[in-house]
Amino acid sequence: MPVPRPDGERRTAAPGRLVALAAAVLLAGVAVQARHFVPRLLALDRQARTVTALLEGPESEVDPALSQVFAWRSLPALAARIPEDARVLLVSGTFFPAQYHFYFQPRPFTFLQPLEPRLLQTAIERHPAMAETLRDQYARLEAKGLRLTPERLHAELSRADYLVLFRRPEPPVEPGIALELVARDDVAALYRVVRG
Amino acid sequence: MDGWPLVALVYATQGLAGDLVGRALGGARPARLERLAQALLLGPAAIALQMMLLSLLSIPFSLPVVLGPWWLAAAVVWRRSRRAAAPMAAVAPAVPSRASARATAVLVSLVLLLFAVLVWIGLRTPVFDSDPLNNFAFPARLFETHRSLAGDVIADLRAVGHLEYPPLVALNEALVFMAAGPERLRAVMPFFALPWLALQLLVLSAACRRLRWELAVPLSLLALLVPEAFALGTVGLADLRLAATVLLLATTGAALLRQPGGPQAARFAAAAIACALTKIEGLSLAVAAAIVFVPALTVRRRLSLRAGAAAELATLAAAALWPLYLAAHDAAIGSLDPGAVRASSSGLLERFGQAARGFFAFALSSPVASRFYGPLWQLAVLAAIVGLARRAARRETCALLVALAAHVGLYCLLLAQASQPVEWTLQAAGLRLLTHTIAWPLLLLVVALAV
Repeated sequence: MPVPRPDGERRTAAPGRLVALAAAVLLAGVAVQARHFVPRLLALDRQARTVTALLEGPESEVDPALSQVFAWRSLPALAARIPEDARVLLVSGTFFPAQYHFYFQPRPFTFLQPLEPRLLQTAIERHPAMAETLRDQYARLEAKGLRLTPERLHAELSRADYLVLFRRPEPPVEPGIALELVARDDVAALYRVVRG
Repeated sequence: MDGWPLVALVYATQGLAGDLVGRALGGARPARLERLAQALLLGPAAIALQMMLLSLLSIPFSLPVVLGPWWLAAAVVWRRSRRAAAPMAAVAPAVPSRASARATAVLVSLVLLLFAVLVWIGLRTPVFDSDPLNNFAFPARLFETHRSLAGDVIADLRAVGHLEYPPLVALNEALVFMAAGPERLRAVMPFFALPWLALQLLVLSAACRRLRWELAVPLSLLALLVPEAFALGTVGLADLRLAATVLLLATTGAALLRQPGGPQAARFAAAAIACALTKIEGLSLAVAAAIVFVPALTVRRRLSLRAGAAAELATLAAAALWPLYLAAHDAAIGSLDPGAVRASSSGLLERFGQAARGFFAFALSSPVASRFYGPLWQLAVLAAIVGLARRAARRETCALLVALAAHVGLYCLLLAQASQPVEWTLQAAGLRLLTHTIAWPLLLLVVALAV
């Protein structure tokens, strides 16, 4: 018999056999679903271990393409040593970009990085799975004027108060600009820019 | 981490804000599970709107300024509810059988257990790269450090990332960031698990309310074990939140169809606003709901002109707030690049058909979709056939199929306009689209079996 519900819905007593059939179909669906779910759950757990190892484990085991990991490990400590109103320039030595802006907010910040077609090709050959992402990022960075060139480096450095060298061993030499080392680790170095 | 108590306070305030909004919308209060899900989804939307208004009024963001008003309002509501003689109108609960109550309790326990696992995994996989960092955590960091929507800063930035995405997720992340300090990228992870909880509670609530427990249990398990939905709860993206909010939109829309009235229209508008503030896809869906669904009810005189107009205007105004803000700061960048859209409409219909066929083929026969969604869509087809065959379920099944067609159609229209080949876009966005539309197969199953 239909049972009237306060919100206008109805629930009727369905024949038991049909309910059993529907429940059996659903349970079969649940069994199939579980076959996909359990491996995914285990994969997520494995992924969590991998991420923990990347972010907290030995640096030597991190894939050089994972700039974001190096940024996570190094940049917060360097950023903490820069006054909040200082203008910061980051020069990257790697083709693989990271979200550098995140770590230096709210300071006025910009970065430059090497963008050569040759580097793009090599990166794609080494990491074919990242080809589309790399091409996309290359085009975006190029369009935003973030390619590292001597002219841009000179122009940006003449405005900056601090220079961060990210995965780049040697500081640039610019006439009339001295660099005072503030801090460094295995990934990056922070310099105060002194003009005159 | 020193900031955990404050982080917990932020999460509690999000839920509290949602509960207060639910009460303010009036009408019959939903059942407890649905109310909790609604609070988890509407709270962050209310806080996002509050932060947008604060920024427009040049009041800098801070935890006391954002969180304080909600706790004050809660104190007022609590005092009033103690004084009031009559409690708020509530849906008279059906008296569940002992077996049904036990099944519900077991399912709720299972949901909470898996939610705990989700949070545990999430806390071990903090945001550190790709889209979660570039498109959500980065704008959140801008909002956190500049204590405003930072329109001028966004316009001037030469950074990688879609800073133009609707700001609900980023604004709520910013609030967690303010509370968490250096551990911000880890502390924010529970925020991405909460939509999974909301989604499951909504499914559980609908299943337990409308189905015999013998059917409610397997159906809830089916939703509980969708691999992709679970996995998205550990990633700092907005897709799962949009999926859960679309389900809320669908259930409030169904309630509005059943009992047209001001409070129901207000609940529907609140869900639409939450969609609009979550993702660009949600924005298009909310606008479509506001300019098609609500006016259709008004024209058919099922909803008063006043209630319909209020719901429609509120949705459109809230949806327009962020795009207008960006336009005012000349900061519309990234995915809204007009170069990405085809200049001519030639072949649009053909590409639309291609996209629609591609979507359903992907949902029903792709091994990728099976691995990530299991047999959900295939069962939904079966449910649609059963629903259409049964007189008692026919009307609701038709309504759900129309809603599914409209939702997918809207997406296909957007895909058809993109400059990339449709196949490529579907391959790239197929799983995301299946996530956004997960409400419809789940509801088709509930409706088909609710007899």
